[in-house]
Amino acid sequence: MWRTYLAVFLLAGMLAAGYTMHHYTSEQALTIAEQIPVSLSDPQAEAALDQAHRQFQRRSTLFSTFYVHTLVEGIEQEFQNCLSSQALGQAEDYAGQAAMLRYLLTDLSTRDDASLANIL
Amino acid sequence: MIPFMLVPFFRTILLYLFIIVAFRLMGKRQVAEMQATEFVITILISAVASVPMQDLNIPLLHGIVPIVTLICAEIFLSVLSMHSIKLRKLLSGTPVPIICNGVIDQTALRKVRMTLDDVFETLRLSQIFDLRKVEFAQVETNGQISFLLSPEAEPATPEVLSIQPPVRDPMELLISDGSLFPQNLQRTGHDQQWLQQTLQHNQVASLREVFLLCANRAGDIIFYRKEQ
Repeated sequence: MWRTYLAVFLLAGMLAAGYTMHHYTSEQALTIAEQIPVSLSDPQAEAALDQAHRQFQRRSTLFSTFYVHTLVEGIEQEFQNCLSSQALGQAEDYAGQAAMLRYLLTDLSTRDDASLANIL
Repeated sequence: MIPFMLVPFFRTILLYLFIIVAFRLMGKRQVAEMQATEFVITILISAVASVPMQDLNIPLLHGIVPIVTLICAEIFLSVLSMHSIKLRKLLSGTPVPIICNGVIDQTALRKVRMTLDDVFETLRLSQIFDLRKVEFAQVETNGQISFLLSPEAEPATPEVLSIQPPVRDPMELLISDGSLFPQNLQRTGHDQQWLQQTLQHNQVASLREVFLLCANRAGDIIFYRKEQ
């Protein structure tokens, strides 16, 4: 009988922890996405992008625990592209890369949603 | 070992330990006599565990979550099937008699998709070389065949010979390779004093010199000294 209780505990614990962690990581990814400046015209753009990058790096271990590693590496790569465009002052390239970076971070947060489309 | 190889190494160790715990949770039956559901679980767990072992791109959790889910599903299904005969029949099927009164039931054989070669092979492995000696046989839900021999082919038992066999006292393992099993010592009704006397009688100074010591309640012993 203890096996049944343990199974109930394991399943309930796993689902609860999974839901909480998914909620937390999604929130973190969305927060980072919102911090990324859309264009270089904003005088705070450089600092904001740097801060977003640092936040992402701090949480990359957490993201790698839940998401396929290439997705996390792809985001890091896009961050590097944005930073280099920013350093070179290529505003047009930056706008496209920033949009892509925001999309990747938003997509990361919805990838594990228990939606019918994801399940199927 | 190069540092890169440490990732799959640790992942494999972790998953290995995790699967051992998983199989222990599912109970001893899992390994010995598999039902259809248990067989499916075993195959699935091995397949699921091997993916994050080989593909470092996949988080370890993506392997652990399906394994936990499978264990829980298996435990719930076995609990449910314990309480429901219908579910048990649905999941495991029912035994199918293939030999009744010494006659092979061909329809039943076709039903279980078993050939005569399979039946004869199983008979031979059970030391039965004459089909006429089998009165009844059935294919169990785990795929094994059980037999009932005809009375004249059954080995003579004390019951048939109307004799009273002596009550046998089982031998318990007391010392194995220098390690004492105190519970077994207690079960045989002996104590440490008896053990010391037995060791002295066999000219042994300490447990470490004993390779094997078995005993029963009657005081019979099997003793082997450890080879140097």
